[in-house]
Amino acid sequence: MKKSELAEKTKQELMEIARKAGLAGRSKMNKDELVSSLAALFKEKIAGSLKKAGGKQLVSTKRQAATRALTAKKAQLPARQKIKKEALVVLPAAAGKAETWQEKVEDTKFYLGAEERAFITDKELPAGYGDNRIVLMARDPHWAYVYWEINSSRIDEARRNLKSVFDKSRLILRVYDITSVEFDGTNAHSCFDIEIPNVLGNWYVNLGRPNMTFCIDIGYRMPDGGMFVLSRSNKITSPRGTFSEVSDEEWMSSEEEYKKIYARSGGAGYAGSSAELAEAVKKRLEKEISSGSVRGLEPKKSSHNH
Amino acid sequence: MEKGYLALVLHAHLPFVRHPEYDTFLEEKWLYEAITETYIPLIDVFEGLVRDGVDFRITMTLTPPLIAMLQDPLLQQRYVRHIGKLIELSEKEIHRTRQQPEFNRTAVMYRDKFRSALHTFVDKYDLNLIRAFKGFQDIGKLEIITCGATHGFLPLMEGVPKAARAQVVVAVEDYKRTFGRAPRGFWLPECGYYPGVDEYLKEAGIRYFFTDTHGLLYAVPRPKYGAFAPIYCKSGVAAFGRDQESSKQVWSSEEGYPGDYCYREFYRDIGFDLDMDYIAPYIHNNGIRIHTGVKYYRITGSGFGHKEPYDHAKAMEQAAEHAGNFLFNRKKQVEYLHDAMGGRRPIIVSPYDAELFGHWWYEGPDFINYLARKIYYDQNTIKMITPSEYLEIYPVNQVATPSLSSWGHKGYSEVWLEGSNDWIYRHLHKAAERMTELAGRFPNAEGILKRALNQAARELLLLQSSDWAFIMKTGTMVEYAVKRTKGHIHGFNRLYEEIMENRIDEVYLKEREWKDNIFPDMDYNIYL
Repeated sequence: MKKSELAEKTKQELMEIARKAGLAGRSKMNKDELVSSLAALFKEKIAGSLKKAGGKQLVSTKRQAATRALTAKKAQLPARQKIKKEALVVLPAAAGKAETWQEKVEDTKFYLGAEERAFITDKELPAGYGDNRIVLMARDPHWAYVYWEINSSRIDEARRNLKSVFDKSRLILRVYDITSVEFDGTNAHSCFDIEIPNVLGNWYVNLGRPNMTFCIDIGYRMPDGGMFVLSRSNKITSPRGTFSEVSDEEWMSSEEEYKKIYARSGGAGYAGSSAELAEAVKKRLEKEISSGSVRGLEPKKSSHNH
Repeated sequence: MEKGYLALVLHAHLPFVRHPEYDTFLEEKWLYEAITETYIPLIDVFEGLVRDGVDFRITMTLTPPLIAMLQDPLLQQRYVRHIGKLIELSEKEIHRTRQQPEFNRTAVMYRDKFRSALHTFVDKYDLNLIRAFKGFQDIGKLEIITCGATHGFLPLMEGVPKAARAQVVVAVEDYKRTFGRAPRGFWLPECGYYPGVDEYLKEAGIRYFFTDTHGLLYAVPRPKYGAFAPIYCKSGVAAFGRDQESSKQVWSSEEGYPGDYCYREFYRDIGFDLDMDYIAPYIHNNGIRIHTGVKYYRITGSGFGHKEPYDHAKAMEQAAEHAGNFLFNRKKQVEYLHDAMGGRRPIIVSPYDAELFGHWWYEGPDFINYLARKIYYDQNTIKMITPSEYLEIYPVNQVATPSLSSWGHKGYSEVWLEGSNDWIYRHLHKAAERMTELAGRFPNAEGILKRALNQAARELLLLQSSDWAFIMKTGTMVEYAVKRTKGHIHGFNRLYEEIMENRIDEVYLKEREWKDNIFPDMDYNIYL
């Protein structure tokens, strides 16, 4: 939308456009500011769509935006490397929904037409609780969120232990793939490190692999590669991103039947109205079903049986 | 004999918003608008169906916060005041538009609907709409199910299992108190399922819940019938999957019904269109312009350009046509599946936010009315059913574990865990852990200590509403969601510290009990 077109709209209409576009700070803008911000935003979007970057570790808050340059270093552990089967194409679960009205309508449930109003500011929340912990949460089949807090006594311990090496050590998150193992600190299938700026913080981690089990250590990595662990997270299993290869014996049915029912229930819907995707799902199903080698590769997952 | 079933599921929910400390409070309008535009119109539809002998089945969530608000005397009185103002406004509108017949007929429609709403609310149900819904349940037309106690998104509570369990247990107890029987079904908030959460449902006596389509399709082992038959979790609780095709017919921006050009335009409201002098008494105090609910235009076309006046009669014809189209497609679907499933009758599960019907899609309740009638009178292929009834017909189902999933954008937890709202979890988790710590440290408390412990549990539950994170994400009324989140964190932490240090401030405790009065029967021992 051009600036001149925007200028002709009422403030309410502009607010609505801004809301849909997710323009930050819109509630505090006057009409002129809305027009110029939206015009800039639309320009940026066109430019942005031409060179979309991916694969970086996302930083979660504005405060951390300054540290965005700090990208993850993936250091694969050479020991006990497991050969992974090629990941199945991930069905873009609910990707078609982006084009639907569901969010918009859900949002209007809370839409009263009123602009944002400021409230008397509550006192600020505590930044942390003096704990020594790291907590891992699954966001989707590929990404997890982690927050942590290391207290000063634990840092003092690290300083005492590492002595002169302390100043040369880096604060990192070490992300372990511990699928199907009782993790003892040494037997992960693989791991990678992410350098982090602070002992109190949070991060989005690109795990990249659905249906695998992970945990994260936070600690100091010494120049020789060794690590002083400050705290270890809970473990999570990333959600499944596609159909299971396991089919129950008792319920085994003809492959023809699978195809018919699955194409109907999954393919058409998730693809929005795209017939191609429905076709792609069907093709993949056929591949899955006809490829005898796939069946039985489902690893034993204790996580699915708790 | 029918070849398959339709389970229409309406999920009615609003977060607990009640501010006795103010004479009027903007966000309470969420409730008042939903009563006028959704809950009462749905009750009207159900009444009409019963009166005309149309056999229908609808499954409906009434979440504990919504039940609490609908039964709250203060909010009931405030609703009467609210609808009274709307009646007054619509009468003025009839006068104002007397020279413009194309608008005048709509003004008359509003006055009649508002008057009827007041009559339904006050005269028929004595200010308590729960009575209405309970009545339809008691005659077997409506199956009311429950939901997380405050609509907490459970997959992000996996690390604090006592808190996840409490969301289930508190809700089930609240349901029993309200409806005098145990709930059979459970709406997982936002359809948020993680493997294992069904154990809490099992423990609470729940027979079934719902997941989004991929929750079932990605189950292990792969379910034979896809999303068209329930599966049993290992716990024995049944999971029903959302049907994509019927959901798309309502939600798709290309083919979806609510965007039809005949339907009423949501965003054009006289709260913004009319002179301040005239409209001031009907918008928020201090002259903050807001929607009044009186809207005169139809969608007309995409964009914000020219709008045509709304024609309610024409919109009704369109709603009937859409109901016919919906039924036609379900019949096709059922016929196909019935064969594909080797003669087993499929269940098509079509869940929607109840507030879609009437609020944004103004004609939505009429669509449901026409749909129920067409299903009953016009054909024999498909019947409406509740999940409980389906389980009675088909008690044997495949055993499988659904996948972690939700019905939010992208299908997992991202809506409630992203840049705008991820800061809350550090505090949510800590409060949950502290609540369990308190319960362990002070078992069987009495007197003021017991009251403080129960209030801490209420603050924790209110803090966990998924609505706050959702609002922060979507960007409408964010300041309020942030205020509520911080307010409950502070409230909880203060109670925690006072309890631990044995210095409970009764004045403060009383104030919190007065404001956050949900769950009068709260027993903090569930956190143990």
